[in-house]
Amino acid sequence: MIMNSTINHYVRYLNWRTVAGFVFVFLGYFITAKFFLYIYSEWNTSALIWPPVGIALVAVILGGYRMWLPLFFAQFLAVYTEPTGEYFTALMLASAYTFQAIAALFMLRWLKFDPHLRDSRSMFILVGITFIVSLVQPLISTTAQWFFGTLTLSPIVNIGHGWGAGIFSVLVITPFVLTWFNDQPWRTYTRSKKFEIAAAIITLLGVVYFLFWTNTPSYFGISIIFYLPAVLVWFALRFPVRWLTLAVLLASVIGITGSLFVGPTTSLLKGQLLNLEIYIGLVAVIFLVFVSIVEERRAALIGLEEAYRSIIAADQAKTDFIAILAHELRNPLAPLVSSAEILKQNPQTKESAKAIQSIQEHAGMMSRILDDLLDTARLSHKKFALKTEVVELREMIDQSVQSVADIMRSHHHTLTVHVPDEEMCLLADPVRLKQVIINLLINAAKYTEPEGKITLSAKKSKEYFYIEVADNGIGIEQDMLSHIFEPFKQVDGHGKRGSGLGLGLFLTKCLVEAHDGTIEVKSEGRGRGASFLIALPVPTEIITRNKKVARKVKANGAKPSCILIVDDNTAAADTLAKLLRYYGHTVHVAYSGKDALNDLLKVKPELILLDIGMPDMDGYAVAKELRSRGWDGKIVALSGYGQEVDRARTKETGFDDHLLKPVLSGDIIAILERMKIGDVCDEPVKK
Amino acid sequence: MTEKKKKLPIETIEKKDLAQLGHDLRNVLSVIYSNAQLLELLLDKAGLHDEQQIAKTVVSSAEDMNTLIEERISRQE
Repeated sequence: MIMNSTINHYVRYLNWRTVAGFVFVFLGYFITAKFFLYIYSEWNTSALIWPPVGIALVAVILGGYRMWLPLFFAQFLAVYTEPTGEYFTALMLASAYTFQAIAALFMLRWLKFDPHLRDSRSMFILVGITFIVSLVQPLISTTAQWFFGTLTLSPIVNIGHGWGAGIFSVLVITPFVLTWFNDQPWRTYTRSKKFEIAAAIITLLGVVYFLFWTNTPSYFGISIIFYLPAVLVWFALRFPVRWLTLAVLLASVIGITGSLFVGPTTSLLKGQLLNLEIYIGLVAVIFLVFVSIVEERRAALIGLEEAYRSIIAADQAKTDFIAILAHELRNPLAPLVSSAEILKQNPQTKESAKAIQSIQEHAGMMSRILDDLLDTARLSHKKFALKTEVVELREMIDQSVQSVADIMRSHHHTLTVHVPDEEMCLLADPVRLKQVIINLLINAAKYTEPEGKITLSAKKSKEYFYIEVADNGIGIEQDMLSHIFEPFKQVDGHGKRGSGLGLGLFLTKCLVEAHDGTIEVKSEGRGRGASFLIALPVPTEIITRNKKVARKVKANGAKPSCILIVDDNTAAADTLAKLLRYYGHTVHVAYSGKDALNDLLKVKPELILLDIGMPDMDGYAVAKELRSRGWDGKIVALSGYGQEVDRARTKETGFDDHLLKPVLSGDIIAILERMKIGDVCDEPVKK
Repeated sequence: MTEKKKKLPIETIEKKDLAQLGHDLRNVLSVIYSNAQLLELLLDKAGLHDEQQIAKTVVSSAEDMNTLIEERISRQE
């Protein structure tokens, strides 16, 4: 009953793949064993090198414990079918070799060995286990021979020979098969790598030929035995581990055949084979461990490179996403800003005026957020360029203070400015420098309770210009100070986060550093205020600026003009038109590029405000067509894209100026003044 | 005027930051939206229909922005 269930178990267990594996292992082991038995009997020497041991270990590593069956029978039949084969000797050797392989597998699995030898730990384990389990078979065989009185050598020598043969055979065969079983295919190598591998193999063959097939003792005064390690260093450092295992195998095969065919007479052959076994065994141990460490480092480096590439790609995708979002949000923001501006002209009640003011403040906040997002995307894409010129710091401070006057007023803060009387000229991008000062002032206003005190001061030392913004606001905790300039970091104020994205200080730091400056923050803790100190280098050469005549643009200062607005966003176009009509301009609206071209002769505008992104015919195509028709009026681009490359493209296409959405009436009126536009034109066409 | 390009740090914007971005944009937008709706009602009450139409533009623009934020950021979150 038990026998039947065991047989049934094996019948279910033995599928065609298992049977094929058994046959393959049996034939591989049996043929190799018979070949080496033939060689040893032909040359009349004992089996100092026994490669079937390596085959047995590979078979159990890849096929599992069940491989004991083909291994046992192959070893048994190989010995039993010899002319001198005895049943008992064959049975004893088969049991010893099979038990040795099974014991090795048990220990390897216990130590969680990786059969693909992908790390140095697994290579160390393989070498260590090889040294230990290779003793199993010699111990069993020697004990049996001693017991039956057939032992011809001393037990120690007999065990030593068997042990050495086992170690050598495993180190040559097992890593070779395991690494070639699963490794990088040849076609993935570059042409130069293939060439280098071929050159290394040819060099190796040359060295081992001279080493084992000739009696040349040295070359260039260096013993020939030192050449083999040198070539193996080449293999270890330059190629994957499989090529080193191949090199060791080739050296062994050529070494054994050399010893057999051109080696000494029978009496000395045994000694030569023993020397060969020790020499190649030692070289194999050293280089297998060495190459596994090199390979592990190489794999770690490749892993790091891949991780870095994936981070960069993910980063790119995120910043692209942010840039697109900011551009898209600018379109609906444009009519919103214009509408609020129209409504502000004639507020009916106090309540209405308050609502309009709130809309304008928050639209401004939204606009700043979108600007910050676009700047962050530009920084990440390294598409950030500074336009440096000689600027006067006090003027920058003055303009920045004016920009934040409304915010300070709405928070009821007192802003005190201290600047020296002397002129402070430096090389900077005026737009970005103002952005830095404004960011710090808005930040101070935001994190200071109403009716707070904010101080902006500037001074000059021999090497630096210093700008300091200090407040008596909510302060910053000590553990937050080191993270304050990281993107999306905000100070918690009484359990509430501030408005905005937490990009302001990050951008401020980036901009200051882009000017070769530094920024530092100080705060004595919660409720103790904070101060930001910027240091910008004083130019090494004395610089002066060309004084510009400051021009103030009044919102209603331009002469009445005839303007054509072309925008497919009807809300944006209509609201801007209403706003400009409010200021007395004659405004016509076209909702597509084709309409604009058709209406041109009827309207005869002095200025065309032309949207870039339109579906049927974009702004570039319209401008090109206008210029090709010989129209020489002014064209100003209205776009959500305001980078240098966009401005350069509009200029190249024939635009006279470039405005970034959302556009305020003041921006257009400033352009009208600058372009000296303001003659009477035909009556607008009602649409 | 000279132009110089600087190497600046590449920063990673994490998923939580995107959530925060959506949250902050919606916060600002909700103030605009509620004020615009209030304004629309006040102008309607005052019988100022032209101004009411302009206030409607503010409301619809705020709605458009909200739709964009919903579509873009909520999908990422």
